[in-house]
Amino acid sequence: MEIELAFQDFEEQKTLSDSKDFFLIETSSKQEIKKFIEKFNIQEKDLFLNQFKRLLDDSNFEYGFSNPAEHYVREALSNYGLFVRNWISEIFIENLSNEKRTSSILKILMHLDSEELGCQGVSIALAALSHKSNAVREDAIRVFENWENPNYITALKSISCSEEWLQEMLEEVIAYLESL
Amino acid sequence: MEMPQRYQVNFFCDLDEVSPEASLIMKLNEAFKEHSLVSSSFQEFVFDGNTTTTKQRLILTTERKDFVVRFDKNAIIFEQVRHQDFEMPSLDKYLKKVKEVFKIINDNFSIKGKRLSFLFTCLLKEMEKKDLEKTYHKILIPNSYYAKQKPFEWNTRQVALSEYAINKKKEKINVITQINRSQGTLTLATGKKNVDRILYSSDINTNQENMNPRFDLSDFEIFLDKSYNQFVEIKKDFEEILNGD
Repeated sequence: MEIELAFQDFEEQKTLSDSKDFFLIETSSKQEIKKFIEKFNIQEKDLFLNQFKRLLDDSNFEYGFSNPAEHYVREALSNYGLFVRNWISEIFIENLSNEKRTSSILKILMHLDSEELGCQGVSIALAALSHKSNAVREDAIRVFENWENPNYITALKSISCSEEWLQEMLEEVIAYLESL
Repeated sequence: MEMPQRYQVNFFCDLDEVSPEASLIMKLNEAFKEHSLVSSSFQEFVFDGNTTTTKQRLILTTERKDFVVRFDKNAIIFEQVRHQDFEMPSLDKYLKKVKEVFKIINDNFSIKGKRLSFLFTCLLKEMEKKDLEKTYHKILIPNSYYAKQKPFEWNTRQVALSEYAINKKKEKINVITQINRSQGTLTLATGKKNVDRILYSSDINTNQENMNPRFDLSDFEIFLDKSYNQFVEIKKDFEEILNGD
């Protein structure tokens, strides 16, 4: 018996034919599906995490320029979508104290589409807004600037920065988003 | 030395509408800054008949993910797990944290609990093989075959019904204790280690017959206090049996 895996991402229902997020599994067993998902989440996840961390540490990150880490994430998102978003979120949390990696992840996110990154991308950027490092907070503000999504104006208005330059930057980005 | 593996408290309630939206994430990140908890999301798979659906759910986590608060569809789960590089906090310290975190959650969500539970798992101190075999005879009465052949793996589970007075409510409570001899691999800071030890688990929960939404913050705290005291009493009792002749 063929089982179609239907996904509910926020309010949107995707069917398997629309989504590259998953694979068709021929099975009549809930247990088999569960096992497949668990196995996938372990094997593919390990491969992705190891490669991604290496690229985070070895790639050169500059505003406005892409790099191998970004290309890798784009490809992974197109192949594994939903899973990759979760894995990136996990790496971000695990490396909250690692300013370089945190900053690098944000520089990747700012070059990707916020819709493609889903709520995981948003939660990363929002968490970064409260980071103790000014550099990370600056990157987070730039993420929202690049995403050009007015839906996040409220979130940006709810924070304030004690550093004058950062507060000015924040206000400029808010004004820019409000003008869209 | 005893090695706690997991502490868990569950507050069962309806949470299907709670999702990781931007405004909620911002609010919670600010509210939990002092607890070093960050909002994120996890993927929930629901296997239902012929359809498997997935939904993003909210989670609060520490950086090393040893303390997480998951907002499942039907429960808020407060979980503390052993991290290979860090010592597990004491149980009462964990419960104090759970109460503090839940108070903040309660301030942000209007929720009544349907059911409450408290779980604890630990490996008892390491023993020599002969002492592990003696433990078996203290817990179980084997027949002639197992008395002679000495099992290397065994499980026991006991469930009894108790009653707690929680703010003028009389609640039936399931009190479950499991004592098993188990083999496995532990991941430690020094590397992996094969173990053969006694695993002690406790599960104290409000009886499933009553699933009406009724538990508030005060009820939750009283339940945690009473179940902690009951757990300590039962474990102490078992330890006296296990350590005796």
